[in-house]
Amino acid sequence: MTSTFLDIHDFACGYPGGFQLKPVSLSLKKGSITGIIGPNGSGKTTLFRGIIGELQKKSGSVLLGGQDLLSIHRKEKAKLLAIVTQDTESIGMTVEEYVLLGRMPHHKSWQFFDSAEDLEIAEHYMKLTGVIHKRDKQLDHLSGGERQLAAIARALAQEPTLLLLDEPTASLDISHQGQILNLLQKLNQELELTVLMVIHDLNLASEYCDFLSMISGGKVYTQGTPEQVLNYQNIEKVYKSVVVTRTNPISGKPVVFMVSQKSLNNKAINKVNK
Amino acid sequence: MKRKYRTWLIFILTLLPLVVISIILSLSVGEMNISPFQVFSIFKTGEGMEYTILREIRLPRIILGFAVGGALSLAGVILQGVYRNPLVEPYTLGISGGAALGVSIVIGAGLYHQVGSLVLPAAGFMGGLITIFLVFFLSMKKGSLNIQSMLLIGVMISFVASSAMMFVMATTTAESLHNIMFWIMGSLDEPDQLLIKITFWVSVSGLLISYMFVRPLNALRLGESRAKHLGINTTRSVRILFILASLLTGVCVSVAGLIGFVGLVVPHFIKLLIGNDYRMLLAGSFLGGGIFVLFCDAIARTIILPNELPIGVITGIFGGILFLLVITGSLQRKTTHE
Repeated sequence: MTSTFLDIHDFACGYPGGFQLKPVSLSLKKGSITGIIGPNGSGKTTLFRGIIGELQKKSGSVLLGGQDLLSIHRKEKAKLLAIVTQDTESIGMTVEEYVLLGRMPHHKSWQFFDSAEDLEIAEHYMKLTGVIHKRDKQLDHLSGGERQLAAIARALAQEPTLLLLDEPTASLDISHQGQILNLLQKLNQELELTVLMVIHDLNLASEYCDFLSMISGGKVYTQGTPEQVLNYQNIEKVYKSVVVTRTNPISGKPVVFMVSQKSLNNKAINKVNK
Repeated sequence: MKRKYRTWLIFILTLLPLVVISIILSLSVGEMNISPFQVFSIFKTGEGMEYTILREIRLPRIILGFAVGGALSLAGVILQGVYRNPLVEPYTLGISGGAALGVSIVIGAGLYHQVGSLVLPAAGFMGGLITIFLVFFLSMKKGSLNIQSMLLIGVMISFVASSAMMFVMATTTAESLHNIMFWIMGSLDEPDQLLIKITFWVSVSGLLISYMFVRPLNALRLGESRAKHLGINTTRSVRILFILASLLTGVCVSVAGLIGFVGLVVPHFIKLLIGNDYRMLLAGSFLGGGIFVLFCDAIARTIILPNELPIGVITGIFGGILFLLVITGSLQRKTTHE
């Protein structure tokens, strides 16, 4: 087994007649958590959609464990990788039905009812994500955080080796953000699940990811460990805002602080007065 | 999950007796009332006037009614799943408009009297078929199907077809106008045995084919891209399901005219009872649609004896009111619940 699990090599893709991503190379080690960061409109989602095969490939390759991901049959692919996208539409079904849909790639050709194994696996992941007590609730009646957990449970029911998430913590409060990312970290350690996520929050990215790829203007600006990527020079250049970075006293990971225009002005005035 | 399967079992066990009841009721009521308890013995003896009425008039009509009701309701529930839109019904996509236009052109041009009775259904079916092709090819972009634009194109074609039909109606004779109107209102009075047989088999095979796509339909509840992520070939499934629903609708419309509301009301009602899982929803809608049309037809045949109302009137009024009651009822329950 190679240590590189997902190998994205000189991969370029884009929207027909629209935004184009310049060639990206990125390799994920098995059992790592990788974050794609970058400002709005930088191409994070384009890269994400390119990897999962929703956009036309322009060049390069995406290999998953040595197999060309873009040419694997769709059903086989659904057993290898699961995708959690941002959930905004209403879906009228119970949590359990929703999680059980994740078993679909594993269904036999003429399977009509959910097998005992399907039910067991769905139950297991509902327990793991902590939505088991809501199993008979309608999905629309859950809070945003619970829905996101249910979506992760559904993705895990696919029993994938690679989990892709598009902004899993967007619009959640810090307790749910922590709950979801700690869960991902736990799964990552226990199941050796490789995780790739698009994430907006730089501090969460720093705290939870092993490897970061910073995208800007349709190409990779820099990539490496959080310590290598998240320094104020890179951030100020890519995000065009003033920040200060420090080190988290417990985890030792970089922390990013925003600095408001007003404080900047005050500081300048103070300096002059001194 | 076990509870869900138990609900399904109870649901099917209540629906099947209702099918039998609706058939026996339809056999016994009409211009000449026959006691429901006698129906069996009359069929057993196999002779007499009552037998002739049951065998030659009422039974074919029941078969047609059940097949049309089942097919329309099935087409409705399929399209609602494909478009993820609860307001889509079989007539939304212009198939009925095209069929109606085909029929009015034939009646308006006076071709109707010269050729046999099969010409109207044939014209309706051709009209529907042309519409399907138009919707299909106009919404194809670079080999892939855009589901939402498909819906818009269908609605637009439906408008164009109904305007063209009004043009035909405005320029034709009073007699043709009457014939067109009568056809549009819909009727299960179909003397041709072959057409009844065709409708029945199309309807039943439609149900069987739809079950081959029960998994895509269930996955599509999550939206097209998430269904793809689960390994479903959404483009192919959507195409086949669209054609299937269109053919079902086309056959029903050309044989029985426009019988409104079945494809909208029945699937909604069934969803309220058993939820959104297509494994039960397909069969439930099919049987429910058949039962609904049989009951409505029984009312249409008897309410203004000795005359007969067009069945579309009853399904519209009855179905619409029932629908309103159910919707407002469930809304109230929801708001008090929360």
